[in-house]
Parts: sequence; C-alpha cells; structure tokens
Amino acid sequence: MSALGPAAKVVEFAGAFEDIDADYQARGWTDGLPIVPPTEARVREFLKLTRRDPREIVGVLPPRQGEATIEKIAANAVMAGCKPEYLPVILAAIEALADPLFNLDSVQATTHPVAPLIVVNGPIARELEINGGYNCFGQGFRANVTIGRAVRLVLMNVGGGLPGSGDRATQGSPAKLAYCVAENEAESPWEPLHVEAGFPGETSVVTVFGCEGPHNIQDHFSNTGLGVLRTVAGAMGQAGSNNLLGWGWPLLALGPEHAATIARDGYSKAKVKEFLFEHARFPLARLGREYQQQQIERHGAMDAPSTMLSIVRRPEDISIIVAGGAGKHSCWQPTFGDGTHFTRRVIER
Amino acid sequence: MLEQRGVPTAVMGTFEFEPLARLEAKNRGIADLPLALVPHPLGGIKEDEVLRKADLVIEAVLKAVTRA
Repeated sequence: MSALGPAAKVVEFAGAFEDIDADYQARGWTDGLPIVPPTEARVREFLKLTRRDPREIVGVLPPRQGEATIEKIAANAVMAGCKPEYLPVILAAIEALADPLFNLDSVQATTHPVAPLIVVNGPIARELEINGGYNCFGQGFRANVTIGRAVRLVLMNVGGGLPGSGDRATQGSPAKLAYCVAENEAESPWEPLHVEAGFPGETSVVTVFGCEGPHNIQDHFSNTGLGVLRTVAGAMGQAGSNNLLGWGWPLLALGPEHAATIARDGYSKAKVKEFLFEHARFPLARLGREYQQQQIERHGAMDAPSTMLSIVRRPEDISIIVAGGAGKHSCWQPTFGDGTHFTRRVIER
Repeated sequence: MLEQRGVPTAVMGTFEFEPLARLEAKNRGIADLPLALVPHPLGGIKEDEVLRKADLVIEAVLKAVTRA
C-alpha cells in the first residue's frame, strides 16, 4: 500500500464568493486568476473518479517537499476549474513530474522559463476533448487550460513553487499558467508518441516535458519533405536554447500538413530524428568567444571554424508529436536541457 | 545528499539566491547546511572579478569540505 499523507485542512468561510476568492489571493493560494472554491462537496465529486485513498501520496514535490495527496490534488483541480473526469489525467501528470528523472527540484526553482508540458495520448484525450487540433496550444478549450492550470496550482500550493522564493524564474513564460495538449493522432502519418514508446494505442498515457513555450516554425513554401525539414532544422538549431547549451531531450510538434509532406516523401519518425540530429546545428564560430569556450571545455567541441554544435547527443533524444489543425505551421519546444528528462505514466481509469 | 554519500561538499552561490538555498535546505532537513555566498552575479563577470569573489569565500569552502 502506498504511503498516506496528512488529511487536507478544512477552512471555514462565511462570506460570498468574492470574499473567499479575496482570501485565496491574500494567502497566495492562486496563480493570480480567480479560483473556484474547493468546497468539501465539490472535492468529493472529484474523488469519485479514483479508487485511490484520498490521503495517498502521489508524489513529494520540491522545493517545499510537499506531499501531494490525491485529495490535495483534487482540491487544486477544483480551484483550476476542471471537470471531475479530468482528475485521472492530473494524477498521472503529477506522478510523472515527481519521477526523479524529471528533476522537478531544478524545474521548479530555476531561472529558466521552463514549464511542464502535459502531452496526452490515447482514447482519454478524445473522451475528455483535450484539444490536439486547431489552436491546441492556445485558448478556448476547457480541458487543456484547466488541466494545465491544475498542475500549476499543485506545483505552487503543494510544491511551493512560488515566484520569487521557490520559483526563481528570471522572466517566466505564459506556458507556466497552463500547458496541456493532446497529440493529433488521427492526423498523424506516424505512430503516436505512446505507441512509439511501446504502449498499445488504446492505452491512455501522459508524457510530461520540461520545456519552453512553443517556438513557431513557419514554412509555406516548401513542397517537399526535405524542404520542410530544412526549415525545421534551421529553427531548432538556434543559439540561446538550453539544448544548444547542454543537449537534453527537446520536443518537436509538427503541424499535420508539415507532417504529411514529410511522411509522403518517405521519412519515418526515426528518419526525421536522424535528419534533425545532423542538421539542427549552430555554428560554433557564430557564438561569442566565452560561449565558444564553454562548449569547447565542457562539451569537447572542436575549436575549429567548421564546428557545428548539435542540440542533442543522439537522434533518438528528440521526441516528435503531431499537433494542430490546417496550415503550414509547426513548433518546437526547447527543453530545460540536460536538467530534465521527459517522463510518462499510464492514466489509471 | 552528496555529503550523505561521503562526498565532501560545499554549496556556493550568490546572496540573491540565499533565501531559495535556505528554503531547500530546511525542507530537506539540513537547515544548518553551510553556504559559501558571494555578491550577485556569478555569471557574466570577468576573470579578475571571479578571483575577487573566490577570495571572499575560500575559507568558508575549505571549512565546509574539511569539517568532520
């Protein structure tokens, strides 16, 4: 049996919604937006969606070393505006974030604008209407926005990732408010992310990446897979990302039209990764001398005018999903570099 | 953590991040973790400044890695 944490505290409120919300704001229990009050009755509705003990610890979250129990996660999900049926996705995401491989210690506290991106694969994405089509990284879809927000509230309220103290982000990112997407499996020419990892297609899986917000890759002009890939490689092989600084496991989210063009011209996912490993590079000589020195001394880059710096150690370190609607746009998510590895969990139903 | 594995360790940082370091140490049950701190920043400074800052904490670092 899993370890149990303390029962969540119950706070009595007598006032109207405005008073409750004002109190949450004053206590710093919110991301800045108004919250939905997590009444005992509402939290209980959410707890019906899991067979696990409300006090079961899903993960211990730094920097506070807060025990994220099922009940506390449910309360934050209510606050975020979730529907009860979103809870299993959030539980799986929190469990994945607490995996030591993800290195939540650093992700929470760093000056880098890293945010956990929650990628959902499998049938649950369709059932909950987690958007993987038009504007999937944007506004307008309750599941995406509130699941992402619930995870952020847990990281703040349980983990203590509070701006200026436990979260020292220099600038942060809008992705830190809510960052959740489904893969557009229906329009992918390839096996989806979880199937690539060995799960049956009908299993629902959450994969979390510690990454920047989406960096757009526009190519309206190429009509070959090679052409699109050259643009993608150009965008990914950029100075300033943590991946160029120190490799890691970046994510590429191809729009369905780009993906179709690339796949039509014979590229499997593995071939795309090989191409990007070779071509998503930045010339050492274009960096300033001190940055060059860092690459030479720490990464063994050759001090030569022809040296091209890669963003990953190996082709397979790049993850690929297909996301979005019609149009000639893709994006990539530079990650927190070597400081975080993506993790995944099966969504228990 | 490294200390617990027998590796002598000194935590260095800048005063800017002292509250975070103390918070993390406390939450991990090592509130008395010695910190060797210098004025902010550590990045983006010239070598002479690096040496000047190193001089400020060399004693604290030696003490941290040699204490029993």
